[in-house]
Amino acid sequence: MSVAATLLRLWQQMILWFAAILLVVQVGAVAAISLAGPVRFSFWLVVAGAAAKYWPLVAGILLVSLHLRTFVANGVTRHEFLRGLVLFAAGIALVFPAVVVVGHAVESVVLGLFDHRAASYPVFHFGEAAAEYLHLLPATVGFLTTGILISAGFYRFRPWIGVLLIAPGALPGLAGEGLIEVSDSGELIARLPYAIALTLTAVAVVLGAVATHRLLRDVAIKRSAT
Amino acid sequence: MIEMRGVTIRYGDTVAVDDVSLTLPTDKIYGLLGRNGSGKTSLLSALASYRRPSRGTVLVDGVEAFENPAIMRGTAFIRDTLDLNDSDRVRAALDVAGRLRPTWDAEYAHKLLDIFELDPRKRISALSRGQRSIVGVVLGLAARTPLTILDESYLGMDAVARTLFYRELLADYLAHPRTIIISTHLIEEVAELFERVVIMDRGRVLLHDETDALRGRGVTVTGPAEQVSAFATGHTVLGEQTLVGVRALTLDGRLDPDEIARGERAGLTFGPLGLQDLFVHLTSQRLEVSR
Amino acid sequence: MFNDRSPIYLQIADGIKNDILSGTLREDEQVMSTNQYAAFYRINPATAAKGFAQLVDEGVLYKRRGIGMFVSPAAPGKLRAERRERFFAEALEPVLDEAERVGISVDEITHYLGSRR
Repeated sequence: MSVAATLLRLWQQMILWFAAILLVVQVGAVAAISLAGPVRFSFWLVVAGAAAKYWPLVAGILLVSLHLRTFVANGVTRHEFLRGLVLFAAGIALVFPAVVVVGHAVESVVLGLFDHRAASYPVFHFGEAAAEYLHLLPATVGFLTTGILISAGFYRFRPWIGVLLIAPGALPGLAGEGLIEVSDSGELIARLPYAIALTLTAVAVVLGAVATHRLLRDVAIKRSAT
Repeated sequence: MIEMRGVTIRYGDTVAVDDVSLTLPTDKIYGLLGRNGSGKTSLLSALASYRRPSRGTVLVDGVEAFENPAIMRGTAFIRDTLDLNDSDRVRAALDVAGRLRPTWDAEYAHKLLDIFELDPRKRISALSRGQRSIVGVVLGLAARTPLTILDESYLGMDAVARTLFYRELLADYLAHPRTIIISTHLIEEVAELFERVVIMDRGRVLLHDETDALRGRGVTVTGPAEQVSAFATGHTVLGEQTLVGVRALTLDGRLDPDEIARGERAGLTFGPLGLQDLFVHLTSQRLEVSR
Repeated sequence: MFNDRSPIYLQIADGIKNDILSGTLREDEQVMSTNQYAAFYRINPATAAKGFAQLVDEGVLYKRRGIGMFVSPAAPGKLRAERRERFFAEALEPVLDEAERVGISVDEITHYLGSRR
């Protein structure tokens, strides 16, 4: 079976738990906030929006440190692993922002039904769904790339070199979040013209991917995770 | 055919494997012997493409092995530390092997767990040293790969588990012949399973021969110091002991019966050398290489 | 079963010869296959095969293609003749050497043997 499918199988349980916890927190918190009156902000955009950055960062780190060794030990080449990793990571990166958008839509509609949206609540507009998605995507892709790149640095080199490499490794994530984001108040922000910001993020992500390939294509398989 | 050509592995200034060239015909059981730090694990890491050699190449049937999908798929390298995550359950580790290895035999894996009485629901972190070794053996044997490498896979196993391990290894090899390389320090226990033996010493291959050719290859000669020394001229001396006029020399090579008969008439006694003693003599610091 | 001080294939060959001489294995009787032998005695099958090949070379065993190996009809007689030939040199000479070392005369030995008759 392919590397990506095996990764999905291994992560299935963790992803389901994560989704369940996020959902329970969301429902509980919004219900509690609603008791105090109309809701002034999108709890989902704050919590799931942040999760769409930091969870991919952690996932990226875990993917290399947990699985490179175990997959090679099961007869998978480094290149096959990297290809499967890209496929699996692309899946996370494409789906997670979409989940954020859908969640925002549900939250907005449900609160609207109960007429519980305050004036400052970022009402979801179906016409803006694509734009919202495209403003979430770069940060998710960037942080995922950063997570993978940083753990590749630690895998390849001694810890202190790994620490030094955190700074350049953080670039894709920082570019993605710094240039394009959806603010906590639901505002779509591009600090440069969107096309240029997106291109810069894409360049950082591609450079990160190339660096990861360089670091891992012939790396010695260590006895421990890092 | 598995070939190593001029393989050198360096860690900084340390040379772990020093220009090793080795040809291993396939479908045999090999024993890899050597003292601690002699470079066994580094050599095996290169064989299994876990590490790219600093210099030299590993070829399988004439094709470079490193990062070759077909060859790596057909290679299982079980290290004593196990390449699993501690939080995984045994069952999950076997499941991943089944997904990634086309040659995996799940039924056989479970049969082995039964034989070794290991509960697949246990987490790796909850296993004793011997049980971890058992998981390694199961992963190695049930993978049924054309090249299976077991690096000190007996660590922590009790005598019963080791006996089961050797029995299962041989039975499965008879049913599914393949190349199996076993590194070990317990020479006397497993030597009968080895068709060939490779002995490493300080990063180099000291010897590669049929195991049977090494049994009785060395001989000890004991007797009056002068006669023993006279007899030994022309032979390679591996070891020497002298005590009040009596000398015992360990000689390399098989003596012909006439020579032994002549020695016995001169009052010398001869004793053949076992495999383990031969290994110890060949790899111990030769303080007194006398001729 | 085997010691590691002489090649195992020779020990295997000797063991089977002893079985033939003692009558445990009879003329034209099938012997174990090398794999059965290897599994039974926990040794490498190539080593076992070498021992059997040696016996085929010496004419002690013969092969029937696709069936297995059998004891040659002539084997017991031939082995007995060989062993008889070697008996004096290999079994008796060391006894006489030892006797000489401890001062037992040939007469004493003959006398002893006479009493055993």
